Amino acid sequence: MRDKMVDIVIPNDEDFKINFLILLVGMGSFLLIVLAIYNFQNIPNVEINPFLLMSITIVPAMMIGYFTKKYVQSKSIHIFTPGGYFWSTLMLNVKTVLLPITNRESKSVSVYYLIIPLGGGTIPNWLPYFGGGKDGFLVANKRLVIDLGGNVFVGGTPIKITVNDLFPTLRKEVLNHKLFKGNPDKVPIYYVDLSMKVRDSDLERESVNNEASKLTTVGEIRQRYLSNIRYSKYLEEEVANRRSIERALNDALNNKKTNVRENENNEDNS
Amino acid sequence: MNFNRARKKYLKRFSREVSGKDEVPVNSIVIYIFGAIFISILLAILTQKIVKPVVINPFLLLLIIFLPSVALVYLIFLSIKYFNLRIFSDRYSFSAIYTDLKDAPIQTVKNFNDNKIDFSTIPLGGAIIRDFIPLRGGGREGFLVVDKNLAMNLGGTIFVTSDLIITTVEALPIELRARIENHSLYKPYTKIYFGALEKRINGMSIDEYLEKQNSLVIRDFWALYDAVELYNEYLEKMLNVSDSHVERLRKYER
Repeated sequence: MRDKMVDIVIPNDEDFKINFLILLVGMGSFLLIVLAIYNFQNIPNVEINPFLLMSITIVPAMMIGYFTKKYVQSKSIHIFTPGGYFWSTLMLNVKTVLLPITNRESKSVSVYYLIIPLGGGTIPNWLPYFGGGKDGFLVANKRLVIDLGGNVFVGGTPIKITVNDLFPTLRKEVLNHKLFKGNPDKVPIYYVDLSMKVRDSDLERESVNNEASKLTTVGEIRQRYLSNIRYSKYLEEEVANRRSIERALNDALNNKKTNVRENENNEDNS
Repeated sequence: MNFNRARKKYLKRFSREVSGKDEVPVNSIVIYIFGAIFISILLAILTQKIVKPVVINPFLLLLIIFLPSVALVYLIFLSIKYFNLRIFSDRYSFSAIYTDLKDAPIQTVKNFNDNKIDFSTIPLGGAIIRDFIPLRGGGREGFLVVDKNLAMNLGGTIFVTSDLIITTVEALPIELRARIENHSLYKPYTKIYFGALEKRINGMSIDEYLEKQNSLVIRDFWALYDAVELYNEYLEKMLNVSDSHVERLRKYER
């Protein structure tokens, strides 16, 4: 009885198996190579257009590369979220960002965010495929990220934004991430700030800035938050513009003063 | 500085909506592949008389065609599953044709205390991709047998919140065994991923854990919201100061 119980549980699929298809391809290739070596003097060679040869060699090779990549990703660990999103990941180069914030009631709040590069993959006992960040980044509140011991579950519906729509500190951290490449307006950022359990009534706040809050739904509040971030980015640029104008005017004024002084000195000397 | 004007200018700048990615219902990979093949064949036809043909052993030619084509078909088959991963658990991810637990067949089983438990039985493997040929083969990777209450619909994917054990159909209760053995996709010696025990995180179920975190996450959200608003107020003040400086300097300049 005990032996039977032991037999019933299959340990895992890590035992060595020979794939029938790989065996077939290997045998076929071997046979063709042998035939090519033994018959190269008896059978006349064929002539083929180099471009045609390219189309039947390079193009399938590229396709093989692409599909191998996808296969490795499929066997790797995954991050998945509500809304049907999932990505393969290596869970390497994950950044934890601490945001020390003082809110309107002058209370200090420490918010932890995780920046996880998406993409890449690895299979045990196989070639790894590095490529984290190629599918974008997941920026999520640390409290919502649950490591299940392999796969990672993020308990909040992500919103797809760009790096410009992130909180300034987070934006800086993502832009400085060593796997961040490409156009900041195009790299997708999947932002998770609220739990999947949140209801409209949970976000109610009696007043915001001493005014009764008119925002009622989670969507509206999130929209306003993102709108405020974009506005702050715009303001940052405007302040930088004004400062450069200020500097230019200051320089011009100083030059003017120096010229006037020099002219006065010249007149005095003459 | 008129802030209303600044706000309008900003809204105009950022109101461009991002266009949907999936507007054209054609798979981009298919386009790239057929595009590359078409260009190569076109080049071959156009340069037939200009470029000298290369000489190659016919068996070698067969080899370089045969090997990649078989490997390609196999890899396409494997990678199609990636686009169709539907079921996730703590360590495993499976492709399946079911995207909603409601669609999966249910078998009720009585436990030792005579309590009824509904088990969902889902054949694993197979795939259906939008705008692509379907890949049949459900059941090839085994069956998932999981307590219905331990699986969550995530809107397109299913999250199994149970520790899965790999077993065989013989280890299942009689009702479940009969149900799976009579399934049209059942093949002998198939693997069964069985889930009846809930995964616990810090002694809590995933639902309880998320409920507990909810209020803290909301507190974090409002803190960030406030921080952005306070930062904007600070920037508006800075802009005001800079504007007055610029105006003063312009007056001096005149």
